[in-house]
Amino acid sequence: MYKTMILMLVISAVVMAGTIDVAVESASITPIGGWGKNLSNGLAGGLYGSWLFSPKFRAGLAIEGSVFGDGNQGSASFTQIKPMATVSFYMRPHGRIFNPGFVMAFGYNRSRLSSGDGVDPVSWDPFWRAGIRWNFSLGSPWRAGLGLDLEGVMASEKSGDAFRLTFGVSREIQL
Amino acid sequence: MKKTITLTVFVFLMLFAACESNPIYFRLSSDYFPVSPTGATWEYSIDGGGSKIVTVVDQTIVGERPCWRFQSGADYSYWINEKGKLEKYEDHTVMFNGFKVPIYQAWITMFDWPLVNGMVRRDSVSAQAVSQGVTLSHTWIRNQIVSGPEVSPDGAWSDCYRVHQEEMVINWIQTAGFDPETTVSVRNIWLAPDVGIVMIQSTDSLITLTSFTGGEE
Repeated sequence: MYKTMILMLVISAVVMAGTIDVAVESASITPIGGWGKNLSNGLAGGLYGSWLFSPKFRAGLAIEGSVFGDGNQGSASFTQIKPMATVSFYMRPHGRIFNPGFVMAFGYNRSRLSSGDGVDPVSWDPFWRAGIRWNFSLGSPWRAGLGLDLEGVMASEKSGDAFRLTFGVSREIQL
Repeated sequence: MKKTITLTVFVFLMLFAACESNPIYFRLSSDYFPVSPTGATWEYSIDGGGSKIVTVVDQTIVGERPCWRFQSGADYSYWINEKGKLEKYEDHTVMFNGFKVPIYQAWITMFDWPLVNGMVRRDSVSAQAVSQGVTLSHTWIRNQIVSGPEVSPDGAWSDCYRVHQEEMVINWIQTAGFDPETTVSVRNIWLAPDVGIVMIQSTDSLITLTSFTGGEE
């Protein structure tokens, strides 16, 4: 709880004036590299807040959670929580239909594996993400974005890499 | 603005720098009981003298299912590792009048993957057979609890899971002069990633892996 509070304070400190972009994203996550062999594809949801340095360039903070079920009708469950800093660049920020963009994110990832009554020790590891976006208007002030990301959790001995297909809805708020 | 960003990044990193990290993705991607390919060999030393060699001999069909055959000395065992679980072909017999009477044969799940600390599993079998006009009854109960990840007791293998097994067998030859015969065996099995069993500790023996050859695909 205290971590969430500190995160909220940090967000407040960063966004003191100007325009912010608030987005809600959902995503499908496909593990790559074998770590998901006994898990299903993941489902993710996140809240993103970005400060607009310019119409094209924005940076902010986000938190995302994802969950993976058992890939074989068993009782395994794997969850990730990712607090992160994000940077994004959009080429045509006011384009109605086609506003291509690039996103990057860095942060930490909390991984938790459970099955039946058992739980493995939780792991906190650095995390990165890079991706592309197709952003378009849903009618002012709402916009939406489709995207494809590659992400990696830099855990010891083996990283937890994954592809991520995402859809999000956002709006800009003048402060 | 620069200061604000620097401060933000600093707070962000400090917030999570102290959190625990462990190779959870390595464990998830590892095979804790490889049953293939042909030629894979595990050599064990037995505490107090002797050795044991386990080899994957070939693929065969047992109980109408394709499986891998392991050989250890003159004994064979049969394994399937797919669809998120490890299954062993259990072939239970009861000794009666000098004969091994088959009483129960079936595939039984040994582990569900992935292994997780605190995972509990209980399997049981109850069967009967008639031999020479006498009813033989057989009850088999196996309780397992997984703990870890931990380093194997000999310090040679990390990220192991320890499986504590308690197995109880009750055989009863239901005729005059025989009472139910109960056998209880307790063992700890250490499984290492991409290697399999590296140590088995029971009340009267300790078996330790000395070499492992992965075989050829």
